[in-house]
Amino acid sequence: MRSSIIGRLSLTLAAALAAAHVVAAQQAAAPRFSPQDPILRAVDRGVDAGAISRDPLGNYADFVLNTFFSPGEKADGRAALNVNTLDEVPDSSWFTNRSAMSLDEIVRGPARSARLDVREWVIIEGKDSGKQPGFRAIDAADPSRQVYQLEFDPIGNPELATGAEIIGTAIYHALGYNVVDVYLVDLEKASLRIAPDATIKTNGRARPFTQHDLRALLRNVARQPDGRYRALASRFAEGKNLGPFRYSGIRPDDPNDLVPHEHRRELRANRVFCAWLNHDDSRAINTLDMLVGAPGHHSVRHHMFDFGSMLGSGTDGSDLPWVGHEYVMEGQPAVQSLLSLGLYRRPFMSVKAPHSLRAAGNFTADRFEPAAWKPHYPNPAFSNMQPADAFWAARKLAPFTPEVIAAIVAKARYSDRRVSDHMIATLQRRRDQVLRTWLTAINPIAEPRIVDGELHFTNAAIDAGHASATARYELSWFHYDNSRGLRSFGPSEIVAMPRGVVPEAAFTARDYAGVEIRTRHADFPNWQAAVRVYFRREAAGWTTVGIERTARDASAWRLGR
Amino acid sequence: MTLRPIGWCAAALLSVATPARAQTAIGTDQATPPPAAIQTSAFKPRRVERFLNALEKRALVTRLFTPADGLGVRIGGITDGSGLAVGPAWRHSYLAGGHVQAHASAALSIRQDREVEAGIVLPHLAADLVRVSVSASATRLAQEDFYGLGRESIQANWTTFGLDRRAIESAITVAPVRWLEVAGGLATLRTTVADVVDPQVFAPATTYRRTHAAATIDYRDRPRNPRSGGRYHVALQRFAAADDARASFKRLDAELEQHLSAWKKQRLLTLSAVVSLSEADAGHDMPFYMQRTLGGSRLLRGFVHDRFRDRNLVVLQGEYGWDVTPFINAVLFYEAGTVAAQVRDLSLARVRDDYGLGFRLGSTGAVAFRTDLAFGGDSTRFIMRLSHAF
Repeated sequence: MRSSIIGRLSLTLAAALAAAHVVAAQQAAAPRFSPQDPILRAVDRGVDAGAISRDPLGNYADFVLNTFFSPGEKADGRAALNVNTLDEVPDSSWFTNRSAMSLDEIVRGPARSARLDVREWVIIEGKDSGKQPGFRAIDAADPSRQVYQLEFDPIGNPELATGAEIIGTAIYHALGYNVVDVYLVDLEKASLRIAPDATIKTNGRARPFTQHDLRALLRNVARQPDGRYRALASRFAEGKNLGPFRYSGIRPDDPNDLVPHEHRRELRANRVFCAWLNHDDSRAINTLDMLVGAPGHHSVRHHMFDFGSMLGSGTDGSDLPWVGHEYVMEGQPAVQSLLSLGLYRRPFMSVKAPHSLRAAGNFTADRFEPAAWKPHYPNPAFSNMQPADAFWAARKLAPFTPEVIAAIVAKARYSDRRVSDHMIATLQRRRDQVLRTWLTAINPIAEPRIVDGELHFTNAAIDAGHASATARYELSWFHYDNSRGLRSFGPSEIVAMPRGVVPEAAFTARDYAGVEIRTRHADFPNWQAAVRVYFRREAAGWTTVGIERTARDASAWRLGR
Repeated sequence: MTLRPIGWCAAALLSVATPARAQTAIGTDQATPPPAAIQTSAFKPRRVERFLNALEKRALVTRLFTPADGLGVRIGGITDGSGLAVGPAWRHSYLAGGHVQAHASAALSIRQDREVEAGIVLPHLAADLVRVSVSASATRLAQEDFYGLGRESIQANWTTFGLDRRAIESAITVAPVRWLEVAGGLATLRTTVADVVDPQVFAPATTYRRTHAAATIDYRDRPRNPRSGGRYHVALQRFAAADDARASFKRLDAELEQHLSAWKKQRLLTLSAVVSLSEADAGHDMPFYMQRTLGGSRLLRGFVHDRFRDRNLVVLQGEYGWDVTPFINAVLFYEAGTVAAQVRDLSLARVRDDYGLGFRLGSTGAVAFRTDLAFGGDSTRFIMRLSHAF
């Protein structure tokens, strides 16, 4: 238990304070905006974390705890706790805003080099976790003995899991998450050597890794027409392995882990990305915390990894048909199936998937509903996702244009052009469905700024082509008393374009001003919920310092567990 | 699950969310000594989590079905009808650099059956295409059930007998492709029976030299919980009595199993046929204890173990299954079978049959536990097993 600087606030109180601070500020004595706002970099490496230990969480416990218990605190409509005053996620040890990446940078992803050329791999250890066959090895010519994990495709689905890993890693990196370097390698059996002290675990016990183990492994993985094996080489992340991070609570031994994970926006909103990519394996077990930094200055870097079970891949074959549609344990459909003697046809049983493209697995956009998508089992952060979280995620996803998607898919080097075409088309269709769902879920005002005395903003849904450009905007200007949190409304107007003239006369001698924007659109009555934008007068003019999104009917937001 | 107070955390998280703390939260990424007020604590998983982590780390569930190397525990039946058996076990899977595997175990069942066995396997000959095994076992079945011969036997005539069997067996298996296996082997079996009440049955004590040849085509998608594909197995065995017991015979066994599925493999129809035909040498007879039987947990589940026996046997089974959850599969089944002294008497018009329902628990890869409730036999039967029905 940590001692308190401001007193022993309960998390509930803290969360309530943080989430409601914008509203409460009207009565609060403290200024709402500080000179440093908006904060672009969260300080979460301020205290040495060298004493941290590995989280022992395993597969069984993660499944049981999240399926039969309800870890974490429910959001109950509250906003994410780690957003800045612009409703954005600052850079941190969890997330880095990478919206300015070039196409080449996106495709390259986290890789340190364009390709990995290894003439001889030395196997040092068998792989004792996960379903994907593989082992750990080093480059015989590398004096640093950098360890890689090599994983292969299932024998019935060449290129399936490795392709998913390559695509998933590049996308997650571009989205802003920390991921490990991965490379596609083609290797021959002759290029594999077993280290004399190599071991493998069977049934929890280590024993020597033998040629028979290698032969058995290679016999059960996909082989290319030229006789070589295609593998994914994952470079072990820098630092000390601390095990996974959880999607709820905080690490009790990490002094810098301050925001309960179920209230972190990048974890809540990961539900949107997972739905897009059908990343059902998005659970604690497929995350990785690494202790990095010099002694006395240690901190934790949080990674996402293991993307082999996404898109249409189930790692050891095509993904299971219910994935994305149901949790592994669902009460109601189970009872319906049982009592109907199996005559009840669950919706996922009617999904059309490409059976003939083995490298694509069962990846499809048929019957894909982004809001209804589910991971393998409940994820407390996903369950807490709010409309603003989803909107944030959808905006992160919007830059994945067909050109970007095609370039990323090309990195997977599918040998069958039909697979590439299917993956590109399906990713695009699913992306469009995600954007249509989440960009329109709330008033989609974005990028508000004042330029030369004129207010400019965008409508993210219209700009993405998911709503007709027939919106009108009601602008209500106010000046803002930052010290007392009071808004005093002045002139208002209705405009047909996303811009308006700032009534400078009303703001003379004011440091803070703002505008409340309501969008009138025949197809989206929920857009009338106000978006409040706050500006601060600086030497160069008005700077945007705050965005507050309100929901028209927050009680109607039910995403389900 | 409730969250605990996190005083300093709460203050610090507000550093991002509120301007009051922002001033202290930005401006440096340099690590600084922890304030005295900050205290952290080590992970303290809940009891259920500690238990599950230990279960996983030690691979205890896996080891129930695939024992680990070294000393362990053997759990399971000695033979169908033995009841739960437990005993010590030892195995080593990488002797001589992995070329040789060895195993040994002993078990005692709740019905007082007991067994001691040991063997070695050379699994990686000819680049893993050929497997050779040699084993020895001594089995004492204390109370084998006997209801008489033929399909008209009456349950009320139940008696028991004891059976001692000592065997030294060798086999060679060739698997040229993944879906085909051809096997052959030699064995010496010494059998002794005791306490046989019925003086009419042929029950000599004898020593057999057994030769066998078998072929198996298996293209099931997941052999331990199949959803598609089939398995076709045929075996020919010759049991030559080494003494003057006049008990030599040969036997042909065939097992056909086909799995058909629909609705994303969530609905499953399994059809199975088992046929066993025996023929004694001229002037010889087949001992009753070497005859295959119906009844028990696999063939005619509505009848008790070993309920029907004779020289020839045929069983047809159909099972419809549907997934309730990925871990639970419900089934309805019907099966019919008969035994006869002569092949020509194996008439499907005069079969014994049963039907029932059941549940299969496990993963998509394997059935770990099954229950069946069978009706239509001599009585309603409830079956629990740590394996699939096929």
